[in-house]
Amino acid sequence: MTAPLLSVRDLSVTFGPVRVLEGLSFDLAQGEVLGVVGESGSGKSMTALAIMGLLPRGGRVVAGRAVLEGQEVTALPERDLQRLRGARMAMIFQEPMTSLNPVLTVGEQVAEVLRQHRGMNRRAAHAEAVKLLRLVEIPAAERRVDDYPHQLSGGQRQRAMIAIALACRPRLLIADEPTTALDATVQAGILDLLRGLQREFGMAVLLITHDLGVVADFADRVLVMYAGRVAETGPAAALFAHPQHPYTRALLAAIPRLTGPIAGLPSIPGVVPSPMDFPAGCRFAPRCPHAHLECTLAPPPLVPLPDGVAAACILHLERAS
Amino acid sequence: MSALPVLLLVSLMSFAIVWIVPGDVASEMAGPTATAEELAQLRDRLGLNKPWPDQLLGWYSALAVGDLGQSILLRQGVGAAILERLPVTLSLTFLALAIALVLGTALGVLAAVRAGQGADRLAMGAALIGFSLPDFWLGLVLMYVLAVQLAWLPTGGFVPFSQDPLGWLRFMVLPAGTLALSQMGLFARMTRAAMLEVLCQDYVRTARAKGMPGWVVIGKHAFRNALIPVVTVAGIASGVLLGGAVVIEQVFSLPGVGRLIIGAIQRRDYPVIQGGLLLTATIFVLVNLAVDLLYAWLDPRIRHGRG
Amino acid sequence: MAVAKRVPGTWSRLLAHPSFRLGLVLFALVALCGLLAAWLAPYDPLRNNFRARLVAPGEAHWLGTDRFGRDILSRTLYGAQVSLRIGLAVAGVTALVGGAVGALAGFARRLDGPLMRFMDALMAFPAVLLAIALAAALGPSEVNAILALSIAYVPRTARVMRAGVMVVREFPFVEGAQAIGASSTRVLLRHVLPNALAPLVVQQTYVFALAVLAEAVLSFLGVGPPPPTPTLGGIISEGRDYIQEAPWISIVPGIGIALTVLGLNLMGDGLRDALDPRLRDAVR
Repeated sequence: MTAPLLSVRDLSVTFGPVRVLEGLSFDLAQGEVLGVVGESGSGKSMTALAIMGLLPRGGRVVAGRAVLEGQEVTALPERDLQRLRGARMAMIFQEPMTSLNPVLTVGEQVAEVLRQHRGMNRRAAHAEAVKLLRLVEIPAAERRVDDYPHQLSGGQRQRAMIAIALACRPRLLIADEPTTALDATVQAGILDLLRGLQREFGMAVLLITHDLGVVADFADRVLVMYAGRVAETGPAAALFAHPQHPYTRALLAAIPRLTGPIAGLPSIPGVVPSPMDFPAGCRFAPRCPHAHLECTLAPPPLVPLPDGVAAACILHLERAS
Repeated sequence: MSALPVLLLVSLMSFAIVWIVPGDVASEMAGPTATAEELAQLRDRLGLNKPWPDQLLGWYSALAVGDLGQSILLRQGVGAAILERLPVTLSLTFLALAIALVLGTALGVLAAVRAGQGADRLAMGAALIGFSLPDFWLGLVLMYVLAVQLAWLPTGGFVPFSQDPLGWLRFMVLPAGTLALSQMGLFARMTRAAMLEVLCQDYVRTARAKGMPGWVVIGKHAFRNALIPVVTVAGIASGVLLGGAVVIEQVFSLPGVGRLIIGAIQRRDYPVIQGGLLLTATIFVLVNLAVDLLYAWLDPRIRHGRG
Repeated sequence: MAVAKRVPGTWSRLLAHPSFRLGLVLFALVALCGLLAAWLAPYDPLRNNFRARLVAPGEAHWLGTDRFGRDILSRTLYGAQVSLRIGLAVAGVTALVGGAVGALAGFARRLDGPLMRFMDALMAFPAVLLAIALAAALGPSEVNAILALSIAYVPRTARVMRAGVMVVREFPFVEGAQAIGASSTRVLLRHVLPNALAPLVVQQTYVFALAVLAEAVLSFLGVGPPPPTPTLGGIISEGRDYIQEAPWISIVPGIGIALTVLGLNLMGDGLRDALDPRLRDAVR
């Protein structure tokens, strides 16, 4: 097996005294799609921002590292990171309404990446921007290129964001809830586009979402996060067929199904604890139907299981030993 | 602000200033040595012996043809007297506005980028002191230091730009800089607040995620958005500067509208006072209309008719 | 009611605010100087002493003398008293008149248009120029200066009050009061005004500062309180012709103005932060 494109090892992030991410490890191979799932507050977005070097003010990587193509991005100075961002690794965000600059044309926002990273002149960058907008299937791209973001629909704006992200053919695309803010019909279109482009360019995608349907649809492997830690990870098919962690099971059970009788929307009782008062031991224990005293003592390690799955649950630790 | 009713009220108020003069306007204007005949003549020229509706009608019908009346002392039309001096006042005001905008926004951006640090406190302290100093006094002090003591600049006077651009700048830089100071402080505070808000926006994060260098993120993506609220304030600032120019012209002996009005006030030349008031207010209203246009140009969401 | 509950918290927040504290100290210093001018002044501010003309700051005259040998420190102390008196009066008059106009405009929708057009028209004149013209037309006197400055600065106060009333008007408890049949006047006086007062207090602190600055301009141009009353602007103006031989004449009163205005502005910033958390987040 060749070296992974992205390798994250024991990554921990703090905000002041609060540790929002703890000991996160995973690998992402060339051209692979990894779905990162979890409720809000599980640390998914912080993972992405830490890799990009875009942690908000006050956020800091205190331990561990992320290595992209042999470069330790979590240790690079800002100037070197700028050369990677938008070129080798790119990111699209949840809110297409606010993620584009309202006072610059869409074309300008695409073109400036090309000028910055590919050294194109103004004219060539503009022409390439039109091509990119066409690539993301924005109709009448040659006219849309001079429009301002508010003149585009939500779906078109997200397409424009994708065009910006893909302008320099990055090896890694981080998509943070790319369809959450969109209508269901528009969602499907954006996902189809992302999947098509991912295959065409052979890039790796870190797909962050709370929507397991999207993950099942798109991801090769899955990383389930809970309260800043990994709960379970493994190939998508295996994980969805036989979820091993009680949290994964609860998540799957909470998906409303279109088949079968409608019995009200099931949901996981309780909420993700705030990072201020994460419980000692297993952080899911307060909401876990199988929790017992031992769960509250120490955090369970990630236990390797058959089919490439690994789960951080004391149930499997007992079975393994 | 809807311009037309405001302009109507402004012209009414400009005229009405003679009505609040206690006692007899004519005898106050003519002075204690005037004869009865001279007084009657003056009253006749000012239309003071007519009932007030006729006075108003006269004012408006003259305004309709662009006539602001006759100066009593200058033996000249008020309109002509003002127009002659307007370039000085306008260039002083706009130079001050330019200085205030450029330095103020720069200071505000610096403060926002270094929010909470020493540079921020220093910049905001400077801004606060800037609009707490009396500008005419500061003008005197600077004149004393830079012109009298160091002899770097002339103590006062004026050369038209068309005759000697460099000389013009030498005469203008001190008055304009002094005048700019207070508004520079306000611009700095406004810019800082706007930048702090803009820097938290998603599109700024997008720009960083694209790998744009810090100065592009701040100077292009954030600043252009932060400028929008600042420009709105620039309209109001232009009015304040126009008022301040009146006093600064006095301090630096600049032959502008301000000195004309102050001279008219000291010599009770009411037609000039009325015309001067009306004209400055009209300029202010027009500048604010221009600002609305500029605002639309800066914010494409307004340009395309969506809020 | 909401105000009463907020008061202790507001005071402790204010006193903990560094710029409010600094402003309070500065302003209190100037105010004490002005109030106690009669006791603090080493000389009669009006008495000429031709044997001590244009004396430089030194032992006899700490801050020097002017061309008539009058003591600059004493004149500045008395001048500060005049400035503070006028500034306070203008802040008070504009608070009453502007507060009333703004409350009416904000509450009585039919009066809103005409009242605010009138205020817009007043605001179209540069405030300083309008005050100069009015003061000149009315004739130089302290009362007329107060009147002229109040007219020039009233629109700002009216606008702030109106905005405050319009915000509060939409609060549920006001609608509730109207729903149970409280009369409009009662609702206005009992509920809306107390809650719209916070922005008014902040604004009037700034108006006080602006009035002190503008009064100095009036006196500088000779349309403020007439001589022999010592005014800060007047002293600066008298010193103009002697700026080479006796720069202290003009410099000293200017520092007095600057300290007063700086103190007021600092207090205004502190009040804004303490009274209106929304503004604090937006502006700081």
